[in-house]
Amino acid sequence: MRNKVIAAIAALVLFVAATDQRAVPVKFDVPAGWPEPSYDFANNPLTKEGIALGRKLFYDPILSADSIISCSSCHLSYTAFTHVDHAVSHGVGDSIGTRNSLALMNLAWSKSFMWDGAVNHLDMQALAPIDHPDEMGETTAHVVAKLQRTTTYPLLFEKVYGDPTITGERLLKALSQFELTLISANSKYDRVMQKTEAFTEQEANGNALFKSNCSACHQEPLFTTGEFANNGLPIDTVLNDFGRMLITNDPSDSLKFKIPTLRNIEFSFPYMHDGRFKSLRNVLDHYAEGVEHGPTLAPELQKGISLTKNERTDIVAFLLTLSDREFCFNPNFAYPKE
Amino acid sequence: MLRSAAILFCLLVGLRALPQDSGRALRFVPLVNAAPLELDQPLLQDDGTPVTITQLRFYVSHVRFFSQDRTAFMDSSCHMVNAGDPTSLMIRSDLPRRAHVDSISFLMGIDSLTNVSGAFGGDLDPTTGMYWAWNSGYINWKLEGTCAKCNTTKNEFQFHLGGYLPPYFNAQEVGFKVKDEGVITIEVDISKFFAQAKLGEHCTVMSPGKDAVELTKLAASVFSIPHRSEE
Repeated sequence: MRNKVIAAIAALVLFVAATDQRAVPVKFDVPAGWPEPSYDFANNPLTKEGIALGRKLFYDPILSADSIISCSSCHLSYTAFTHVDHAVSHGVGDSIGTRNSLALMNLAWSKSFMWDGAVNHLDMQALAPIDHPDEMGETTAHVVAKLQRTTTYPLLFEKVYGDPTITGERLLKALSQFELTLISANSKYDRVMQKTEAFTEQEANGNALFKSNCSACHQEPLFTTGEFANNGLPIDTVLNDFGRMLITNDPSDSLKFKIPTLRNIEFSFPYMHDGRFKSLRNVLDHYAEGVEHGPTLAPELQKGISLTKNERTDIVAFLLTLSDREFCFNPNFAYPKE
Repeated sequence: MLRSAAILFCLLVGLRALPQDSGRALRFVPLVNAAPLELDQPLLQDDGTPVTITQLRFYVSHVRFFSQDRTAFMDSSCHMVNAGDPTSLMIRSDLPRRAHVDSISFLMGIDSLTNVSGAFGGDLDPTTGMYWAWNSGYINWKLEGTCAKCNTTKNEFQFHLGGYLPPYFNAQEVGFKVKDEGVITIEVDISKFFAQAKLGEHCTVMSPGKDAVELTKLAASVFSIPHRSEE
């Protein structure tokens, strides 16, 4: 009997010790007034160690075939996690892709990923660039094998998952953990909404114009509906990119692309899926004068958007209030110094 | 009090430790013209042209055992059956062998909800080669090999069949009346697929769509319960 009691106490002590080694949970804070996130955290609870592992992986070129390209090669933190000044992104062996890399932020609210919505879940997003011959040129299975052979990663995976086995699921979920923390909700616009700051007259006018002309698709507070739309860009006959239709095989999706968020839009130039516009002014000129009519054109653009040159300037002034410098220069998001 | 708790604990541990093969199971038997399928061997004759199969893998999920039209047991997990891995051919369940079973069903492939719910481990780990990186979704059925009829590199044919979005939902429900046996054998005679797949007309289908749905229906039709002389 006594032995049994001792054994029970020993088991309890071991259990407590094991619990102590578990990763530290991190609460996901939803900014005030924002909708509930789409991401199901129950399947991938955030932990301090999980986020740190994801961050290390995000910055590690071990994910690519030539050990040169990391996630951050095309998603640089200081420019809202996009490949600034590159119309389309380049990958292993200087190969060139066909699309402008999307800025990464507020991903917990995204229902689909990539310009054509090819990826249906944040966890699965990283598979695409890892596998793509013009991006990282690897296979996820081989990346897992490479990580398992290192001296550092098995220990880091053990801290998060309790054992040092690296799997595709664990790799992808760790990357998601870091990416989920990339929340941008502290721009001047946000502070104006919280009534701690005020728009200038020009910004206020731009905001009013934005609400009547742009916000049907670029809906607040995320500045996107997450849907797909044809915004009247003439097709690039070299790229011949038909967007969402390539995924759904549905002609009614021809030339539709993901409506991107406009948060931090100041930093994420050039613009559009193929990076054809260098400045925000070019973008507004397109909506005011360059929209090409076709069978799948967004209903919101059917009648055209009429904007004077001054009104375009005011909208740009408003868009600049969506810049979140704290987000771009957050030391927790930058390259992890050991 | 403590003693009864200890007995209960031992019982629980004991139950978990029971050998896995005590439950009802499905056993998949890959065949070619009723003979065992051998990978990498010229086997089939498609109108006189030999066909070599190098890979056959498919998912089986939502296995249900029925007794008098009522669900006796449902297994919510997903299994990858790989003709090249004998350990993958048996799907075990927790339904006791003594339970009465007169029919079974399963989904050949992965349901929509699982397809949109992020990363999973085990048989569903995206590194198994049964997941599309470029267009999210599981490959329900993967059949690869060579045939001189295929005007492709090295005469290869590749059928990676999947897709979960309407109108091209791809996974197929399969069901049979079965004899009440502990291990239920399901034959997978791949010659039935080639009898109708018309190799040469299409040798490569690797994206969701109409062709994938048609071929997956064909793939689902190769499952059968062995005939017995006394039946």
